Amino acid sequence: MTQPVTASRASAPFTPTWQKFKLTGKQYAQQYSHIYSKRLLAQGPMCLPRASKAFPQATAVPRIIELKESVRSIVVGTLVKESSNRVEVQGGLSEDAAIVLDNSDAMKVKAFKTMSDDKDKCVLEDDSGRLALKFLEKEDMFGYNYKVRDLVTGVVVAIVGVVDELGEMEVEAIFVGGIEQGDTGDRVKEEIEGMTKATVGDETSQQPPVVMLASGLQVGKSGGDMLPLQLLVDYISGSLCGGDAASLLGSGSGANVARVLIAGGATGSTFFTSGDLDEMDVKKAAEPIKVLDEYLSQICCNVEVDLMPGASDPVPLMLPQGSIHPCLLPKSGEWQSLNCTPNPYSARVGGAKFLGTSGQPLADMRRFTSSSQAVTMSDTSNDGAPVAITEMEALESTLNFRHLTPTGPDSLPTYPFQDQDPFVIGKNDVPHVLFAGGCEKFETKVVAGVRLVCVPDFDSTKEVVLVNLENFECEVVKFEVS
Amino acid sequence: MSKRFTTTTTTIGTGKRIRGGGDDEYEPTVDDEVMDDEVDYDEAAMEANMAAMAENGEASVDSTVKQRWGRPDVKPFDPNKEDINVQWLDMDMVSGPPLTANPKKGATVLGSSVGPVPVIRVFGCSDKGHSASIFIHGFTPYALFAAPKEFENTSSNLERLREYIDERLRNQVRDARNYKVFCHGVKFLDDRKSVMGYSTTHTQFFQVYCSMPSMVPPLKRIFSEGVKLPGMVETVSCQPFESNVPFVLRFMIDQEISGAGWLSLPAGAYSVRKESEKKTHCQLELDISYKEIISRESVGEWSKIAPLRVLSFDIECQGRKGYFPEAEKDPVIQIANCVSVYGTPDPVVKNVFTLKGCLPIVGTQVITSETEQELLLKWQQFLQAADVDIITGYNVQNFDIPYLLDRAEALSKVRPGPNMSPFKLWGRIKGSPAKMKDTTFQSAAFGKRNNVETTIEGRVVFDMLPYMQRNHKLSSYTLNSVCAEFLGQQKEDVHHSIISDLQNGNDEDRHRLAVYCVKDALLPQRLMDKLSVLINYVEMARVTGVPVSFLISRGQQIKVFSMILRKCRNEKLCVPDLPKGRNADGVAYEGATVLDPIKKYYEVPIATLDFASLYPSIMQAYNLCYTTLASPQDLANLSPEDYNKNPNGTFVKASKKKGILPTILSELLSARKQAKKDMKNAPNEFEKAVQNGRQLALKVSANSVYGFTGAAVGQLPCMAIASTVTNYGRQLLEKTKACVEETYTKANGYEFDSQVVYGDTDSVMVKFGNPMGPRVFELSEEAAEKCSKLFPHPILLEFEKVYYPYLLMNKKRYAGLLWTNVEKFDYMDCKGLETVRRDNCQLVRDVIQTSLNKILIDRDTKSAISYVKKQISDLLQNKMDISRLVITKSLNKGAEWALGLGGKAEDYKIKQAHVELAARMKKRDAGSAPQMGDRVPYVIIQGPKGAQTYTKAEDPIYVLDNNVPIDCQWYLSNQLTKPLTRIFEPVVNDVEKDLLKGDHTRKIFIATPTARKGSLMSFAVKKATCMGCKALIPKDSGNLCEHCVCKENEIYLDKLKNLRVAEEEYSQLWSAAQRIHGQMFQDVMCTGDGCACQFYRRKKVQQDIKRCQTALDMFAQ
Repeated sequence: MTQPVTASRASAPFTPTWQKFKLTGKQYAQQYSHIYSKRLLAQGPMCLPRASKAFPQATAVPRIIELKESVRSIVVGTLVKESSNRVEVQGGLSEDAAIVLDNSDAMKVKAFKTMSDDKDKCVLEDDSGRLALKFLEKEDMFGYNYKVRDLVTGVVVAIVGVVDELGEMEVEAIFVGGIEQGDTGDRVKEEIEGMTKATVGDETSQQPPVVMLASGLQVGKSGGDMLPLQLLVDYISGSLCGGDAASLLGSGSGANVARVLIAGGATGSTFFTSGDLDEMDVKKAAEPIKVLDEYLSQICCNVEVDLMPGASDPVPLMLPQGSIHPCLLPKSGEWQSLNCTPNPYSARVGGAKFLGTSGQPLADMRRFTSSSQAVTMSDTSNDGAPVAITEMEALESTLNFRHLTPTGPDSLPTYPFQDQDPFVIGKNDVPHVLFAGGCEKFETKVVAGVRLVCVPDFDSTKEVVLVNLENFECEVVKFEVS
Repeated sequence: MSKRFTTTTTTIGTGKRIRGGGDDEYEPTVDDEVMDDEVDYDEAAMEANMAAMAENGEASVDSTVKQRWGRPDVKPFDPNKEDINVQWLDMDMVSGPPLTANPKKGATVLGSSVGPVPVIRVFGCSDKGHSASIFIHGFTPYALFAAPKEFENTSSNLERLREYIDERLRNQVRDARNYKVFCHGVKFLDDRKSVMGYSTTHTQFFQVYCSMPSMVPPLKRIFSEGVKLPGMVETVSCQPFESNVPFVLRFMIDQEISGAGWLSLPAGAYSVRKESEKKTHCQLELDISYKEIISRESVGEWSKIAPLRVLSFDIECQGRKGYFPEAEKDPVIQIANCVSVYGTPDPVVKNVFTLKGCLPIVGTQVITSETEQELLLKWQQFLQAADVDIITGYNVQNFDIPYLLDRAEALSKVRPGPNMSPFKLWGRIKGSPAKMKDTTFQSAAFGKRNNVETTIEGRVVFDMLPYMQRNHKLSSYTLNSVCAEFLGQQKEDVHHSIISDLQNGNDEDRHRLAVYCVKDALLPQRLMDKLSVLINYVEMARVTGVPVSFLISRGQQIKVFSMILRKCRNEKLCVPDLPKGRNADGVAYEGATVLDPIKKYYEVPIATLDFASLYPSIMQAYNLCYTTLASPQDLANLSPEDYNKNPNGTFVKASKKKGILPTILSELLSARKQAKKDMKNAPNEFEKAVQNGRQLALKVSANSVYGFTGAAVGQLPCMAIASTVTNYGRQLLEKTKACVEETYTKANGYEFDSQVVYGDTDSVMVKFGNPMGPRVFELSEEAAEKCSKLFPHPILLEFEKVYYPYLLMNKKRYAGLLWTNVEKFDYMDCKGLETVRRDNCQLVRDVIQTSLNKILIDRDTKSAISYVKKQISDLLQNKMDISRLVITKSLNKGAEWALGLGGKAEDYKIKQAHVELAARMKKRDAGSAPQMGDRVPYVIIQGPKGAQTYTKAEDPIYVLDNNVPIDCQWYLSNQLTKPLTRIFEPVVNDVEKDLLKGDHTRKIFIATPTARKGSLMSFAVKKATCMGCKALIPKDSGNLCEHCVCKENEIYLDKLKNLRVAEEEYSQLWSAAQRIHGQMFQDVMCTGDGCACQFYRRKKVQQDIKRCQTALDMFAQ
């Protein structure tokens, strides 16, 4: 007697927490000064105690203006980095400006060429004034001792040092918001319990639920290869089997995918990232979006989908980016399973906090930082010029800085918030999984209990990442057709 | 504060200056005025001041503070063993008692032994960095007069003449009772000649010594009116010579002391005054007899510069809204200072004196005061403690300094209050206050200007604003834009309307103000360093031999005059003191020549052949000088080989007699060559800067000699020389043209017939016809050599550059790519195009620049035309960014009347757009309206037909906020047409038809009348329209008509696209503005005049983004 074959998809309770990234009634009469004030207000208290603890004998000065000469002090402020190589935008939109957020292949090289070098200068600013920083060549002392090259404009830091007679501070140590084990907090119990495993065949082959992280699908891209995309759908729907396909499956069968999270770059439309937007042909721009609409419908009929917009998607540019407008996705929008989310993304899946962006902040940070391994790792073509930090290093920095988009609004288009800085990773916001889309390659790492995931660009790697919701282990699935 | 007064202080150009002192070259024909700026010794006032100082504890300057940045202490030394070397900056003269004994043991006392006698006072800085004042005794003023041939030179005759003159002077001198002797002696000179003419009747002279320089003008009058000479029956009038030389300059020339040079006081020849005997605040106070002082020639070791101390400062005052600050009413609230020492990179002290509390500023000392009186007095103490040699700032001469002095005056009337009289003691003389003098400067180009000249004894006031105006052609002279230009630094302008609010705020607000004030004090100093101003002026003073102060307060002429006098002294020649204005009555002569331009767009290389230093070399080549000008009688005695005839004058050749002007010139030019060589071999940057300053000074000086001879109201005008120079210039130009055009022809075996397409003053533009390549350079080189051979030495035609392509628009108007080598052009050279003037809007500047780039660099005339057409059609369709249409002009004199602030109606005869607008804005909102001295930005809006332009000017912000339609047609016809015609005339056949009229001008934006109060439109009912196709749709049926619903996604994308463009611009512009102003925590308040932070674009993008967002919000979420 044969048992009836049961096949059921894994599931996980889902609670969106992205409300603060959904904006209505946008105003533009205010300037960018408020967001910096609010950021300092929120993050100062994160940095200061860490500095005071490490340097108990130093005097904590509430504001820059109250610093005194020749006294070892701790002062909190926002860092401003002045790169001599920085391409200033004179006359508004220069060519370089257009590449800031670009993910497309052609622009990648340019975009990730760092403007940082050892001659960069840093100043600290708060609402009372500015302070020039002087870095001494000292080895790490306490905590995170950052070097100029590690830092970007917009990071809130506590600085320990002494002001000299010229009014510059000789920096002894720098403390950022930082992260510690346990900061993530516990997962929501009921939601963990609410997860179900996938059953394919018998009870013994139950598989724990996973979240599929994908990015840069570029559906409908002209000249794009639809086959890997189709394989992806087949994988999710479970219709992929036999032959070569077996090697693709990895440990799962597709049925364990409880959610698909698309971290930006779903549309293959290149209109928003290249060329003169003024000359954009709307008819042509609409085509790939229609293809995406069809494509998403195929996935949505199988599984819950979170669709985050990215730099190249048809949404406004400034972060946070709102969700893709329903009028662009008339078909897939019919499915209840499609969630058009903002970018950044914030939600609880299976009781675990997921936080992430479509990758713009990493790309932007990499333009202003350089790797400490510049010399050893530089390839021959680089002539010893500074090398940008890796995407993983950048992602880790955002966690340590406790800020999703530190370089906004300085070099990253950001909405001029007035009452808050929603990008601060506050006490209760430290996620279990922090991800960024649009990366060159897959990388993962655990820092102080936080799982960091660089989600590879599907269009160039044909890879997606599966995050196990029980232990956050990651696995890559590649859809390459040889 | 300085920025607001920029436009009222222009002192450029040649003009007539009326001053109290009679030694200026622009002096009207008043002969009997005081010759020198003699400093009054008002003993009584001084005593009083000194008493007041003691009362206020002048010496109580914080000695602990002083130690850190004060001058080095004087270590005890033996005056009999040590020399003292001083680089002097300022020199003046006072009357005082004669020395009782020469400081040099055994030497006799020189000069008159009966007082009062003139004492020359020199202020400077020793090589050890000590401030020094040297009192030089024994030099007696004198003047020369032509002696008649009949006069018998016997000692008794001379003594009788002295007695006679003494008596006459006694009756002429105003303060005669102070003197016992007036004329100290008459010397008969027969080894000298007048500088005027090849042969001269004046060959013997009386050298008449008098007690005081102030007696020279009466002396001159006596001799001109007629004197009774002993042994002669008739009274004769004697021509005065060199009686117009300022006393200080006289002394310098006779002792061969050059400006800002080093003076050595040899050991044993000088005495040092004890602290108790000191009359000045200088660390060293020395007495010496004039013969003992050694003047060092500025070569080798002595070309160095002493560690001079420079103070740069800025004040802020609290004005009332809508008014200029007035010293009578408005308090000084902050004074920021920065003292630096020459040769030390960082300032030795930075501080700011504030009224009321202020939070500390890192790196800057903050000194707060509770009352304004206290603030001012503390500052004065600081000034004395700093003991600077030079005081600088931006517009300090006409604003900050007079304001402080006037303010102290006003405060002294406040009772009860502290005694303010010590405040004015800024100079180095104890008890002697700074003195202000109003001077008026008149010039054809700039009208009447009032200046204030402040004498601060022993310190040189060097204002950077007039310096910039004189030496650099800029579109704006605000400190902000000047610094942006030269330092690449920008500062945020604190608008004067908020200064008051900041002052009335808390310590932090005042701190913010102080930070700006400190920056304003620091920037002039930086500018000075960056442009090597100090070095250049010191070198100029050394080359021309005049005091540095002459370079600041006087024109070009005194420099040449000084050089001529020095040379004449060596050659035993005397310079006549001609009555002023003798040549003023219109002896106009023909100026420089321009060969008619052949207007065209040349797509073949045009070689430029330049005459190197044309006018100086003509004067050398043809030996043009006062001393070589031959009279008709002279010609009879000369053979024709001995002179060059010219319609404007005949000059003897150098072989017969070398003129002094050619000698001066050849010395200057060979010195320049040496300086250039030294510059190349300079071991360090300092030395390099010194040599560069030197070669520049030499070049400028050489070029000003010609102007000196041609200045009708000058010291020694000689139209024969000036007009002969230009005449030869013309001949040279024509000869060159003829030579080139005759030589380079097909007939002579060259590839093409050459043509001279244009020539101006000292350059000739030649079209050889060859395409771009080494051949052109070869030919040019050859032609320059060939032509040079035609001309006498040292006239040299040089080949330096090729223009290719070359757009010749008119006389003095051309543009081209400049090549100095065959491989790559150097840059685009534009002459006479108003691309940078801010009177034009950005659009004009952009269109001209881009057109030229396209025509000349891209060599794509077609694309230039289509670009211009696109711009015109965008303009007419109202697609132009408003920031590109903003025109800015400042509210100057005359505007007061229109604004109802007083003034005179006759100063405002022609209505001006920006003034009318300012008046209207004042009615709208007096608080935010522009004030006097502000620059008013405006755009021209559509108005009723036939309305005057001035009624159509509007505030760009108002236009943006209210969506007021722009008068695009006006911009086309009044702004673009002229420059475009000029550029395109040589390029296209019919500019009018092809460029300015045509299909692209057909589509014109016509503004929808907006519902303004009272207009007809306020009765119109607005109906909903489809977002896609503008069709009318029923109310409450969404945003799209039935035909557009299916295209919703496309319409959405279209609106989204607009928003993304706006978002990108918004974030870039606003974050860039934060970076430019160096602040992220405070809103950018800059109104962007001349600032890179793009005020209008920022404003506009705020409007744009709002509009785009609203459109996108219409789509149901």
